[in-house]
Amino acid sequence: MNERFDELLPWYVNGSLSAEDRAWVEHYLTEHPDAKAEVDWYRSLSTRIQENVPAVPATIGLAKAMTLIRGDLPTLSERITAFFGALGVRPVTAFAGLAIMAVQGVFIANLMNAAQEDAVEMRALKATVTNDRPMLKLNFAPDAKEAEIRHLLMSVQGRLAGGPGQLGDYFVVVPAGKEAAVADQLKSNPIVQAVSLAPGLPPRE
Amino acid sequence: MDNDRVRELLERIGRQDQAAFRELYKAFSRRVFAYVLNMVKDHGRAEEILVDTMYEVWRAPARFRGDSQFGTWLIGIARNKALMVFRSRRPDEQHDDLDDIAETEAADTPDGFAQLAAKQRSAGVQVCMGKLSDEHRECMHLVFFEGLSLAEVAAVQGCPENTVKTRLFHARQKIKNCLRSMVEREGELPVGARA
Repeated sequence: MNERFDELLPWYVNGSLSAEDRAWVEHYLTEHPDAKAEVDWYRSLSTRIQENVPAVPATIGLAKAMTLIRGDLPTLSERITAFFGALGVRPVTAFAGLAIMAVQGVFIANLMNAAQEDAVEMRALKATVTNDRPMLKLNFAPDAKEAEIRHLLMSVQGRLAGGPGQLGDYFVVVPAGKEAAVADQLKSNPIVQAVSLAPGLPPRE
Repeated sequence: MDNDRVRELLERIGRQDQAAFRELYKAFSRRVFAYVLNMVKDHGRAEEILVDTMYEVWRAPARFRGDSQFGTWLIGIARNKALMVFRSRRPDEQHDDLDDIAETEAADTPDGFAQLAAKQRSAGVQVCMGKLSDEHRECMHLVFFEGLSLAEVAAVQGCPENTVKTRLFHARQKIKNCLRSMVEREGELPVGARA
């Protein structure tokens, strides 16, 4: 079978072919009458595919669409009532439960804040005690390993003075007067995301 | 419905004209529904996607810029929504392609085509279409039901025209061989056992 004929045939059958291609197909069919069997098969297939589409009314889904566009959706309170109703709980009871959970949540959050102070103390353990003096504030890539960080700090004679803070800030003391040079050196390291000069440790929150 | 009438209705929809929306909806609902049903094979889901698609038109009628036929543009919106359904489909809802049926199973003789054309039934075509991959089935629907041109099918499927040609080639080989096997099996049955 001619390759071009095979390629054009579906579009010939569905009527979307350009006049030029259509003329070519028709000319081919006059020269190769046997090929008409394939055209007939395609036409039959096309008919069967169209027959298989279920006959639905043009209004299918229209009522739902009109409800949507009219904004006739249930109100928030109706949806909440329906939601709790489906769970078998009365809304008043559910709200009372939620209120108790909220109070407990505030209490737990307060406890966690108190614990956080301890955590800051723990993190500061073994850090170098420094007076306020210029130091470097570093941020490392999230996938940087602790060993890599330690090795990098050793390579620039850096000592950890504080951090990591909640934003991942490390405060590192380097030999006096070399802050800018070390910062430039660190910037090119792939595990370092940001380097900046800091006047000293930030005040505690 | 031609694009001029569609534009007129869309302008009215932009002014919140519900009657215009209703008219547009009824003019295109069957086509969009048929397309989506062919994709998701679930009546309820197809209806939901149809409603969602038409609601998009209500919310932003100016999005149709007239670069294509309105029906083709609508099918593009419905397609995106159907694909979202596909992504959320459970593995057991997915189906295998007709890979087990060799594409070059038998020679394409004029007699073979004539026999197929005469004996293939709608139910058989439906079964074989259902066994095609999503992309192949969609391609067959767009060509033989929607009557779209090669460029339009490529635009809807978001792929180069050559990809459409390849998909169509494989789809029709598979469906042809599937139908041929079905007709042959039917021929082997005793007369009383045939439907």
